[in-house]
Amino acid sequence: MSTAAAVRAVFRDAGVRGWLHARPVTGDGSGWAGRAVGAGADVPVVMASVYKVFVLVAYCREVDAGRIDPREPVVVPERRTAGGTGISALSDPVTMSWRDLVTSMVTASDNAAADVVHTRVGRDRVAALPAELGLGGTRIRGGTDDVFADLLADTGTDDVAAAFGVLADNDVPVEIRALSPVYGSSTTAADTTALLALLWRGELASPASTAFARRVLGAQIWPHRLRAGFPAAAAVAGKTGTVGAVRNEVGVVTYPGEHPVAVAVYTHAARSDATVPRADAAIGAAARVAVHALRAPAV
Amino acid sequence: MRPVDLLRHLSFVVAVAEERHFGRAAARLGMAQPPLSQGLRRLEARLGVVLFDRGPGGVAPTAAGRDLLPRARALLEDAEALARAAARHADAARLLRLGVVADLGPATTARLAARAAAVTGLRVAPTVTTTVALVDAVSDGTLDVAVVAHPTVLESARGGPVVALPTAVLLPAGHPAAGPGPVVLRALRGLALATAPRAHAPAAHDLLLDTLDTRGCPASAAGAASPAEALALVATGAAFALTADPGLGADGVARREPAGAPVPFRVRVVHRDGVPDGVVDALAGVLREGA
Repeated sequence: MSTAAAVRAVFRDAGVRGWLHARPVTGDGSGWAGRAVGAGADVPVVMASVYKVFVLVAYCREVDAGRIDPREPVVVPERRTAGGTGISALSDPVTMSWRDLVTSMVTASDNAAADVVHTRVGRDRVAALPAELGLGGTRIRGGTDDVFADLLADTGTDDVAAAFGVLADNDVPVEIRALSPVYGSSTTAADTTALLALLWRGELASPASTAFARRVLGAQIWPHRLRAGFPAAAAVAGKTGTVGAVRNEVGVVTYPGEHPVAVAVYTHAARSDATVPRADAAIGAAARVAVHALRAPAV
Repeated sequence: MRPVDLLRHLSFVVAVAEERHFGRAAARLGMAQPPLSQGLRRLEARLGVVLFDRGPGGVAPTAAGRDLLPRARALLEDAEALARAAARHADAARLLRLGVVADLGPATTARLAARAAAVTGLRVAPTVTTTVALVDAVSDGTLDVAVVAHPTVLESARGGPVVALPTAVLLPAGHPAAGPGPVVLRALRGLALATAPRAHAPAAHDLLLDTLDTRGCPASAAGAASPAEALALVATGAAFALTADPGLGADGVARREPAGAPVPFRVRVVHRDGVPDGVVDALAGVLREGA
């Protein structure tokens, strides 16, 4: 079985549609640059919170340009974007520095922190980033607050919790914009690994900002997707994305003494249930199949 | 000059070359000999070349005739292939290829096929197999429409309405839970669940097991590739089954309602683009009659 066929078999067994791309970030000799594993790698997919990687890159560039002071305290009022993690989950006004907001946005997928940082670096600047980086398959339309507004409209609900309740009903297949790459922010698996490879190699930001970005992605708190596919000795840096049946994670996997491999896995489960552990685990299992085909010792 | 029907006249050439005799060639073609001879002469005049030597000892192709013979055969074979392909297209336009997941049982499958035929006026070719195989067939265009277990990955098939069908519990008649009245699912612990193997519809299979787990009945699945196999496992006393088929039953098997909330068997109508108008709604209508 080819690697791509093995990846597809993992998705099928988990009851998900899946799209994957993996490529070495660096390599020895001339052969590595063209090596890659793809399964639907150029098909538009729903990003969900994976868009926060673009916000992270835009933030790093603003810091490098001297337009944002990473240590400046920011007051985030109690009226902010909903979410289960980070300051989204808290009730009262919070004061944090820009870099801590970014850390919460990336490590815990903090929606409120993401919308505040996204606004600060500039929605237009983030929207322009994919084209600037040559990622022709990627469009970023608004932030999490915009996605939630569409979600309430499409499900006919008044709050985000009720909207997700509608999404989790297996009896009613809902057609909503947040679950379609046609309407919201969308990318491709191949675009995503191109972005991660550029970021990892230090081609998008200064060495200090690159180190910060790699550190916060490496501090990802969720262990059930990419992380679940690899042994403890492998370093797994990643960013998840979740909305309804859409479950994603993109990241960089580095085995000791080997070249890092960027991998992007986007899935859409057949089941609507709010949790589908097999679908989460399939992200790690599919990534493992792809990364193994690309592993190479660093000379 | 009279027009020459090239393909027809080339069939004369092939028959005469193979039979080496005008009479036998005419008999093989089901025609009289004079029009065969005249036809060949007209073709020779049209092509400007003599194809056969006609001598007292019989008829034999000339060098030119031998050279042209393979081309004549190739043209005739291509013409037949063209006619066959056209017939397939014509046939497909009169045919609705319908798939039904095996769990629904024969009576429901028959109702679905009959309604599809009535609504479309087409001949219906039914296929009964697994959800995964049906979705693949709709995705690659070898089926037009199918009723499959939901939820399932749709690949490139279009998703239509979802219908939740009530299921009955089939359990061994001698089981303590097989008294009168509805069966509490929790009382079935210890029995395996006879159901289609997970690979037939992974997501729906996992959802069913999670639902039973939630209801206090964490069953292990015993793979039953067909409703008949599931029924047989129940009859042996080793398993229970959930069925949306009102007709499924056997000696030694009790049929009961599940106590509390129903345990639905969800099905979905999936189809390819361009499926005839009304057929998706008609199939959903048949399913809702059973819901």
